[in-house]
Amino acid sequence: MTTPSRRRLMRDFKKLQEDPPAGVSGAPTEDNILAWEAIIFGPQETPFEDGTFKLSLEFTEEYPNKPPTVKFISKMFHPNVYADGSICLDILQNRWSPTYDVAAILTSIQSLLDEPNPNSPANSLAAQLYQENRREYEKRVQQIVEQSWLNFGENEGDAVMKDDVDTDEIGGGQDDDRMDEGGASGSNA
Amino acid sequence: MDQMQVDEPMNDAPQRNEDQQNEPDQGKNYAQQKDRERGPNGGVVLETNTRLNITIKKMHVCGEWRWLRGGEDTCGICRMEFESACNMCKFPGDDCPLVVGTCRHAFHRHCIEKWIAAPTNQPKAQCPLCRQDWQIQEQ
Repeated sequence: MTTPSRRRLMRDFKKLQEDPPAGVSGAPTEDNILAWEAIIFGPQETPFEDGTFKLSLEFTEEYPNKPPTVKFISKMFHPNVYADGSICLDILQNRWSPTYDVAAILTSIQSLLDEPNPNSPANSLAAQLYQENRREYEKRVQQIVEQSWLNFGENEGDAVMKDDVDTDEIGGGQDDDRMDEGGASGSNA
Repeated sequence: MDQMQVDEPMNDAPQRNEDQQNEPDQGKNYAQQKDRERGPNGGVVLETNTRLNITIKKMHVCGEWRWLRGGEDTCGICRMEFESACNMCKFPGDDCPLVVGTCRHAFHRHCIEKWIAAPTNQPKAQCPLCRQDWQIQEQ
């Protein structure tokens, strides 16, 4: 069944594959084009660097006239992210425009990571530490970055993202391989 | 063989000159000829300046059209080209023409109408691209 919103989502997916923005990837789940899973890589030279954060995007038949519901699945520690993973971001609420697409949403969330808005705190501890104790803030962020690696493979196969997961995960996978090779060669020891 | 090939154009030469003199009337000639000469399968035989026999059996005619005030190539809302149907239409055309706002941003009519009616866009209709108040530019 194709509807205007589904057609638009197919278009979003095609654009995401043909012209992928740096550091984000996403795809619809296997059986429902209205439910997407995405991954945002923590931007370099920020406390979130090297994090692989999973998100879910839930669209309705009103898309693109209504924004999707976007949530972090991976644990997040950020002034504008609630405990349940929902995100406080103006373009996903009152500043939404039907000209946004999945790529725009994901890159906006990616840049929100290092540019929190302390005026609309969703996690008061994160907001407080961000403003008053940056060192402790970065320590807490480092913890969720490391957690994002541990949980990364857990739900693998949930989404049609397999291709993306494969290529994106190669970073992690290759590291493991290299370590194995190092161990196997033995001569170094 | 070589000699024959060289000879052929020579023999044709006078004929070719005749054709060139007749050029202004060629259209008329062709029209007459079209009725006169039909190929074996009902195709139209083309008059040529060589000894080639060309019969046109079948022709596909293609056309291209554009909205006059397009500007950018795709509608920012449905992401389809302006000249193709919006996500709600089966076929492009006058039912869903291009609509240009006073801010000069253009969208498919159906796309911008749906956005203006959307609860997300209340209380005041804004252009999805520049957030200025949306007003249609008079043609």
